[in-house]
Amino acid sequence: MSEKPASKKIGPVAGLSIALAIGVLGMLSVFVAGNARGYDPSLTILLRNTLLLSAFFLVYAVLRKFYKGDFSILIITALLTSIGFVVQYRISSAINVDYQKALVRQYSAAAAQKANHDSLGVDSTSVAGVPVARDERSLETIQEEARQLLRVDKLEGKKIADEFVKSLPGWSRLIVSYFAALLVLVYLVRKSANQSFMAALERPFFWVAVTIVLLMVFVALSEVGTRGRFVFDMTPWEAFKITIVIFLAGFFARYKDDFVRTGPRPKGKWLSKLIVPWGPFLLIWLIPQLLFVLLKDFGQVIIYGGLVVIMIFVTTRKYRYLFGGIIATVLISKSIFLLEGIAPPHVLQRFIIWADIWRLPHDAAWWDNVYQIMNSFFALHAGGLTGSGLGLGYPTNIPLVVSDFVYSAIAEELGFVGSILVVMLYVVLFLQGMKIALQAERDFEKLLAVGFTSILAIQVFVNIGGVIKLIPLTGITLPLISRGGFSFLISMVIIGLLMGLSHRNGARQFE
Amino acid sequence: MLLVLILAKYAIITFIFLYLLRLLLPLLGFLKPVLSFRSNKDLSVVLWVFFLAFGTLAAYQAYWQLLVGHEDFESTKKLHDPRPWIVEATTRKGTIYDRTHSENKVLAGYTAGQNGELPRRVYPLGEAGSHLIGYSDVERDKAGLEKFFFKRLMGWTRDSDEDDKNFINNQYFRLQPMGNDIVLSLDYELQKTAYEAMAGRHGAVVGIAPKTGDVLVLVSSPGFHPDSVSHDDAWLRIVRDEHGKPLYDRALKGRYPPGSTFKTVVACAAVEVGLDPKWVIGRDGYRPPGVRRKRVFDHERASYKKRGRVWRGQGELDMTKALVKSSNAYFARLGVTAGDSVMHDIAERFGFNQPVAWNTSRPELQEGLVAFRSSYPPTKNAHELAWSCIGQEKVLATPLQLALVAAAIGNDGVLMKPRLERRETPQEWRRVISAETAQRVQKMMREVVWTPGGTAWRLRMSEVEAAGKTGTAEINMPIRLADGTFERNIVNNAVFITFAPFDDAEIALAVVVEGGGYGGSAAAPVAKAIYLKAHELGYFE
Repeated sequence: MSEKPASKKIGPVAGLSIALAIGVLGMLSVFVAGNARGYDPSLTILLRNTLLLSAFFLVYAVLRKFYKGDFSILIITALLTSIGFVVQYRISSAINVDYQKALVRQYSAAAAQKANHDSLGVDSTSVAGVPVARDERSLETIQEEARQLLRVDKLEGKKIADEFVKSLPGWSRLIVSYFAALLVLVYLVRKSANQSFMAALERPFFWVAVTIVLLMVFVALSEVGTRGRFVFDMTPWEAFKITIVIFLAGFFARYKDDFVRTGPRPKGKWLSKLIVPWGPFLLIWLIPQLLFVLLKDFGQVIIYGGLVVIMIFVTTRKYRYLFGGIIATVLISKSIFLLEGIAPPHVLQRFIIWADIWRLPHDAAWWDNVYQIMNSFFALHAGGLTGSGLGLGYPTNIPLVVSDFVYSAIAEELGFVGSILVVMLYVVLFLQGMKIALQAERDFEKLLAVGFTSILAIQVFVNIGGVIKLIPLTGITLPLISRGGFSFLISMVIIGLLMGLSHRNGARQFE
Repeated sequence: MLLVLILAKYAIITFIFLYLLRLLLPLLGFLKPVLSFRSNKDLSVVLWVFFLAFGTLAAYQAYWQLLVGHEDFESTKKLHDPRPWIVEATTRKGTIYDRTHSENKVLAGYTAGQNGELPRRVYPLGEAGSHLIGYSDVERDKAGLEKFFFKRLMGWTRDSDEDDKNFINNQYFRLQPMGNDIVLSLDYELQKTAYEAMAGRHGAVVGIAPKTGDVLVLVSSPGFHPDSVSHDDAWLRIVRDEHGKPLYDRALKGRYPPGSTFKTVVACAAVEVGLDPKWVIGRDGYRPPGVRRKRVFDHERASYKKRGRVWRGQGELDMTKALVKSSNAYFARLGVTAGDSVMHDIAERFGFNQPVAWNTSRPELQEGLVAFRSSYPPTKNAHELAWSCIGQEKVLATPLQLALVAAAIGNDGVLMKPRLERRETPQEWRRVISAETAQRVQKMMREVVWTPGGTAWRLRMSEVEAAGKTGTAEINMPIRLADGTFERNIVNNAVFITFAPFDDAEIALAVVVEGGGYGGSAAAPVAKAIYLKAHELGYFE
């Protein structure tokens, strides 16, 4: 390879520093804005998030000793994670804000401004029994209030340290899961160099078994009627992303010849006999439909359906699977109305809202149904081109803004430009995945890279598309940015495996 | 402070953008053969499908975020988006002051919000100022000056240097945006006195400073309390009050027959064209030549008849005496003698048949503050002309227009444009009549108050020598009966125009009391209360 890897030119430390800088700058901005607006951003959480973010330097420090792949993936991950931290910090500090209380504090600020402005204070009088806004307090009192408003006292180091130590136990779960995820990432990258590890990945039916066991464990543990929402705030189905991608990659790599075979059917291979005519279609149809029935979650249907379509296409290079899959998706979405009574009502409801949002009568029931998506639109529209500024918007009216609608918050506060840049970051991540697939030595590794890249890409597309009503709303979160320790872990597993593949490619080139 | 936040936002966007370019460009270079379908066509297709999907995403988002002109969306946003209200609640809106610009005569301001209490937007005038000042409420939207001056009160306008400075401050430096204050020409005390003097009767009071055109009083009664706007029950009571119609602004939008007060206009017209006749007005009243319809009788005829006495006529009257007695027959004859074109011309010079020319440089006020036109339609025959000249027939005037008539006469014939804000320089609308004419009519109107037996004798007081003209307008306000038919119902509206002092007017007033009976008894005391208050405040010094 004549060209030097891009990562060498950029410098991973500089990249991670930029990620950290963006995170810290964003959170400081939220802190200042929050104090002005009257909600409560905590300085200790800011400190905690900064420390958590700088853990990516640790990851780099560990990896750089042996890692021969591309560090760009890690940098993009750090960037997206830091944006995620900023947005989480922004939203969680204002999620239950009482704007009335905010008003009191703002009033004090205004009074301080006014007192400083005109020194000739007219005596406070009441008009028609109503006291008029003229402050009786002394200038010192007002200035003291203003100082409190700006939280000057909060900047005392000792106080912050005390508070930080005090709140550590409450954060233990978050911190443990965060570092666990990073550890898993490092572990997977390290292990990927190992040939026996790859061999273990390449056993498709082993991963089917893992999926089934996981499924049974989750079904046993999950509460009835929670629609897969798990006891510990987790979405257990997230874990299937990994096992299914590994399964599909191994499956297609092993039976590739059967899929693209043109000659007569070889005798004795009972499985390939079944697979060749029916396999792809069954995979396209059955896996999504099964999940649809099992999970009652349309988002998962799109994700797995899209994944299967792309992986079959990459294996066979037959356009009929790709276009067949796309047409099938369109047909499903168009004929969903026929499923009335069969499909779960909330899925149907979302379809109807998506297709007919303006044609339905605009009554109270309509408003209840469109409340979430419409508030998302208000946020988008309020953001405009460059946004209201971090911490200066009002995205907290949107229900579930922390998880599903996190993109609306970004679009309101950083505007169209900022949010599209975030999308571009994801695109760079996908391009990195594609690069790994391109450089891959074997079909299995290529399929694995394509599979993980696709599943991330589809998830991003489904989430953002739902938020802006390009496609029906689904309960899919935005990877790396939405809140959730478990989904962060899953994302880190995916990133770790991708980096492992990159490492294998790099190691091969340096040989 | 705000500037730092905005800079931080752009810094973050720029950081991401630059770094993205550094990552993206080498990648694109590496993937070039794939992107151009030269190798690994399967990956090419997958890549382009991704690009297409995310391109669609960006385009669709751009449509909703930047290019919204969707009618349904706009109306839904207007109805449901909480942002404008949060912004309004967290902005310190400007204060509306009265003409004294003092902190204890605030028309719209904030409570102090002490002891942990929230500062609240209040309207200390209460019901007295409800129509002009208006309100701003999440449920009921906005009205009055709170509506017309909304952008100004929020500090969004930037048409003067001061406003511009405030705007820049709000945009980049202030943690809490502050609005611009407004100083009205209204007088807090007079407004309050006027509303109290109306004592709940339906009607309107308009006061104007003749020399400057300042609107001192603009009362419509009954009003509504601005606080009740945010209470559903109280609001329903207001909306359902079919009789009082508290939301209706009678001062600017009520159109009443001016009755005998219109005789001052006739007198002006007559003096202007050089008429000064002495006529004997007999008991038969007056009937224009060539007309075989109802005669114009003096009002004494009906009251004599009621008391069982016989009306023998006024005897010989000159114009002053006719005005003092308010002789219908004399002024009908005078108007007919002067002629339709003269009357029409003078009425239009006083401001009839045209929109009120507010003295304002602010388009939002010009558009928002709607005062209905007063009308003096062209008459078809002498009968109509005769009845028009005593303020009946099709002549209709708003209380504001009546006050303008009084102000023009009081200001020696020069009509000033009514101004609502003190910042505007006084502007002449037009000269209505010559100074000599005006001074003669002033003296006549003084006699209405001061001559024994004058209809406005209730206005006599030692503090100030006022001039005035009473009026009683008969209107038919049919009562709807249960079976759907209407019953004839004659109501006498009391109308009164006045200015004081008579030779150098400082205040001109118009008072209308619906169903009040005689102008002298129902409306003149209201004017007197205002004059006494004005004297107390030093208007006549």
